Amino acid sequence: MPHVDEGTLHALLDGELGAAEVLEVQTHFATCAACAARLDEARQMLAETERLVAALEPPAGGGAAPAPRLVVGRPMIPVDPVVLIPNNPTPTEVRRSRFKIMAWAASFLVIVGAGFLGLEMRNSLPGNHKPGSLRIRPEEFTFANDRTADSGGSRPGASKPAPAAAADSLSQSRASSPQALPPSAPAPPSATPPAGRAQDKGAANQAAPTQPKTPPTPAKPDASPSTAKDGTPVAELAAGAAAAKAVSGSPPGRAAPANAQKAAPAPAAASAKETAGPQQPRDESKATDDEAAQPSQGQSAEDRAASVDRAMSDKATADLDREQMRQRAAAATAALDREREEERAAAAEEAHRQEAAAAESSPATVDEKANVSRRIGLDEAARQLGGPLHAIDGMTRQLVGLVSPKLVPGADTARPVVRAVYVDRNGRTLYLDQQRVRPGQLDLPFTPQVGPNGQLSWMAGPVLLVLQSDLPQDSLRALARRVR
Amino acid sequence: MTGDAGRLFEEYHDSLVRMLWRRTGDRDRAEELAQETFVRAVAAQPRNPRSWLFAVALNLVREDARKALRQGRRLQLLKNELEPAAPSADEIMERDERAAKVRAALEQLNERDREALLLKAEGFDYEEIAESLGLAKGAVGTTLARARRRLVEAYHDMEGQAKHAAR
Repeated sequence: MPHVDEGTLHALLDGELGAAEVLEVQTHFATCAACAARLDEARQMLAETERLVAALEPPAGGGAAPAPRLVVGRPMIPVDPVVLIPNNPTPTEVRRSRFKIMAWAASFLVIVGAGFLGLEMRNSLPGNHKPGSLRIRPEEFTFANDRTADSGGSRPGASKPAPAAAADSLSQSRASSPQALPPSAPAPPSATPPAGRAQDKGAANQAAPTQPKTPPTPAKPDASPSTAKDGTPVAELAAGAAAAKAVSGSPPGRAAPANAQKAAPAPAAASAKETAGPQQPRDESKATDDEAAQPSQGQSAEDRAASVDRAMSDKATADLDREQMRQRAAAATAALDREREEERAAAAEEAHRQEAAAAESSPATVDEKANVSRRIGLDEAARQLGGPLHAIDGMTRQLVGLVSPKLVPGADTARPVVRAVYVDRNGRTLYLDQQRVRPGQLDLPFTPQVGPNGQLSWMAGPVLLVLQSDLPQDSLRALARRVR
Repeated sequence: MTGDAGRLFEEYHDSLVRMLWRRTGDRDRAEELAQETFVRAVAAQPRNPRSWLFAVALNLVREDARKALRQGRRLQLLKNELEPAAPSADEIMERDERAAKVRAALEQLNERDREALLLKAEGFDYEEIAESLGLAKGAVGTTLARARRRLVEAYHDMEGQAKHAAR
């Protein structure tokens, strides 16, 4: 045979030659010192290359690091722009995402429920209302009762046709506004604070009905028509009589304290509003008294009083809003926190259970289970094998040790075998057993072979490799391909 | 399909990123290229995923390298790597120097040789290397032989230069 070319030498060292070729080449080495020397040189080149390339380990630990998890259903925060491929969520992830969905649903329900509660409380005015009803009946407006004897009839001190007519139109609008309100009742009750607020503003805008009463939440247009109806009559009346203003002022004014009282469960907030509330009607009543007495006089004093009123009621309204939002947020957070705690507790329990189970099921050490008589380091392994230890790419090695050759089919029984122990993701062990063959050793698996116990055996240069595990065959083959 | 993609990812991601890292020296770029490769794999659904993935990844590197070369970035990267760090007995410094030298030596190889070497380091057999790089299987041994020899020689040259410079 002609001398062995470099490519063939390396193919031999890489375990890529077929049995026949290996035999041929080995026969040649027996008679050609030059080629045997070149083989040694090639072996050193190979080993050094492996060392150099291994020095290029990525900082994070390369193959030993676990694969990054691609999590589907992680909500809210788009963290990695590189997460492109969805992964089947594990049961834990599914459970967690379900918890999250439930948490959000729960907090939404809490918000809605708190709103309905507030609504009910507002509607359960002293005596006359069915809970849950949105109708605010005219007789509930104490101002109308106090100030103007009856809402639909004549007014004290304002026997003018215009106010009367306006009052009629007002009572009409009032009659219609309860009708406007019920349609919005099924909708989330955040409509009613805006309606209330708008009505507050209506109270404040007695003298100068400048703003259209748009409710703060744009999603509730139902509120605006009713308040607009309130607003328009007020606008019409403003040019005219004070009594009409009183009428228009009072219903919303009465509603304001009602809102204030009922929508704020916190006692502090309620008391604040109760003080604010009664003040308003009092102030407004004063203002209306003034206005009723001097409907046509210069407006400066009234304006000032009215603007003070406006400012106060605006502030009260703003406070009310803030308080309500704070409470809703707190309730939602509390609900979320509760959910999270439960989830954490469940997860912790699960972890404990798993640990306990794991602890119970593995009393023996890895060495014992692997029948390793003695652990060895990489340098001793290299000495035993005449070259670097073979490893399975991408798997984490548990230990390297010596085992009896009797445990390794095909091994030379006169010398120990180097065993590299691996454990896969599912806790199953694999052994990559390695032994340098001696010259003249028989029955070597020059082509990969499957043994009686399902083990895979093949040659990598002068080293016999045996991969043993209770994994299925194709997994073993796949792993064998990853042996370096 | 998503299950397949997930499995593909789990099985090959680490190896691919490591190979790309060794090839490019840039961790972030390696991750990006790997993700790009997996995205394409989902679309293409190759029959031999491992060879295909690495072949595509190496193609992407080549394209990228060509672009960078035009922009002068690669030279800058090389320059940065070869700049001697302040002498220090720190182990980490030594490791980085060594890695820098290895990468510089790797850069001296032909593209083919370098790629074959990196694929072999990821556990590819000759058939897979041939498939990924478009070589005849019989040529892989020669390619690796040449690559290994040149790498070792280049590295020794670099060490020799460093020693000379230190003197």
